[in-house]
Amino acid sequence: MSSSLRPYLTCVRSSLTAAMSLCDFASEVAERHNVPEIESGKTPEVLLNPITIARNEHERVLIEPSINSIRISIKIKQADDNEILLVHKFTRFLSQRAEQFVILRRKPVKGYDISFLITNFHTEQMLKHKLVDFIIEFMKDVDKDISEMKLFINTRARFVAEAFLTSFQ
Amino acid sequence: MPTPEAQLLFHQPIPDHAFSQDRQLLAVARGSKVLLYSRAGNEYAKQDQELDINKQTITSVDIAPNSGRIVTCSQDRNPYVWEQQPTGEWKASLVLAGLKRAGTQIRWSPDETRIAVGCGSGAIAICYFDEGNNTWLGKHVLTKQTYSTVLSLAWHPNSKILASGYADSKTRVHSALARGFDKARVKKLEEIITEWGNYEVSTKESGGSPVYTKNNTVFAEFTNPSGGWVHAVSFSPSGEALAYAAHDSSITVVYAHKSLREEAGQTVADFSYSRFTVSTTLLPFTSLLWSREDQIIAAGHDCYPVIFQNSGEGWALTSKLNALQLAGTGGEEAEESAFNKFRQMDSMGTTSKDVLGTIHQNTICSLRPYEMGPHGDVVRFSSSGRDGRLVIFPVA
Repeated sequence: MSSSLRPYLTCVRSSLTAAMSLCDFASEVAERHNVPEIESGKTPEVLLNPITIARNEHERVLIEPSINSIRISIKIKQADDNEILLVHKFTRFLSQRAEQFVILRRKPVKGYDISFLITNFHTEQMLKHKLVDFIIEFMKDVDKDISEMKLFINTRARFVAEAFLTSFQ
Repeated sequence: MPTPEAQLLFHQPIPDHAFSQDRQLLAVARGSKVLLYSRAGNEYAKQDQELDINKQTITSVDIAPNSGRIVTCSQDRNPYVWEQQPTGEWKASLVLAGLKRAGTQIRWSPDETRIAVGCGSGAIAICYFDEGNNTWLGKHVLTKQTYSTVLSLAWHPNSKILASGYADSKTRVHSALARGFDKARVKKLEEIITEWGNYEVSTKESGGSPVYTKNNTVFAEFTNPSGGWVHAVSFSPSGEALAYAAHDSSITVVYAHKSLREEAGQTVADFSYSRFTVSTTLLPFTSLLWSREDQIIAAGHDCYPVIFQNSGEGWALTSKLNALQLAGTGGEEAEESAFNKFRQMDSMGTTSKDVLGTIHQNTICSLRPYEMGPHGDVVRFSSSGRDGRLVIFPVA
């Protein structure tokens, strides 16, 4: 891993820890409702300024905090068409199973590949520092997984091509 | 120094808790119910009775020190007053507070004649017992302006002034007199001019002696300089100072100064307010408690209480009550430090810890005085958190 990854992840980590100071907040707009304010966006004073943390032009994280929920969107590194396809398939696979992943959002925010939505109910059920760890771990592993898959495709392609071409020898 | 008493009540958040005066009864909010615990030995044992009438999450609970009545408010908008019957059963009576949004915080006034409820619509209802109708009725104060959610409330010790913290980063000190209930004529000048501001009075309606005219007299309004929702407000034991904690991890202490002057034969008071803000590098505080006139205990998202002290030169963070530090200082640990150092370098900002080094494992939601010393100082205080723990800390 390159040396720029560590400060990047440390920055994301401390920003997430601070942004995840959530509390229970019932809706001001609809009575007896309790909705993630970052998603409804109808009460401007309970939204905080979004933060973008970028490692380079291809990789960045957007953190949108509010009083009872935060939205974290991740742009995964995509260097070539192969990676674009892989990232698309991979994130689609995860987002379609968003219910099982609890904090995953079904649709990513525009301009990003995958989004998480963490509400105060999640931080009540789960340990906050573990949630932060999970996001960091995800960011770390997703690059690794994508490059592994890319390598695997390349080897497979080479193998298939070789096997196919031997018949013409 | 005595160690903190920690008890895990259940695995669910505790938004608020309250003790009876003799500390034998503990009321804890859990989901849409209030659980009652009684002191048994060194612990609190759960009673069979539950206060179960609200339909949604209970946000706040309070016990009147003398009458022992419990009040609850919930996100379903209905506050209730619970009274214990001679048979031991708790009977609920609805407070007709007329809240339009969720109730956020409910507190008995120090003289126990009324209840203040904060609401998600920005209104504050002052509720009192109407003997004629045998019900609890609410009068809204601060209704003219449209405000943001009331996140916190605090009564002045004189039961006539209220401080409230809002989600639009404002703190207001205002009158807690409800028109209709506080019909009493104003006799003395001290009743008009309080420590925090002037009441507006009129002599028209009553023909001679002045009466309070307005429900919504705002004495003072403070905006947090760097913004941030005001999570907690609290008056000092004497009522001379007000502290509030905002989401920018700061606490601010406000002192009111009154100067009297004569104008056209009448005594007029001018008020000025001096503010001291202490910014910290910690996570935001959600609860404040004055342990004595020069000491504030604050706790919040950092999962441990901290103490702010006024040394005479100003307020400063003096200590952190973080009793269970997992970071050891033994010889074995020291030998491993080089190993730990490299492991931390490799960890990429993740921690391998399963438990935090604090007693509370999640945000502390409320602080309450537990035991008072001979001079009225808080000797022990209790904290409850999102992890379902109740901890009784000694004030160091």
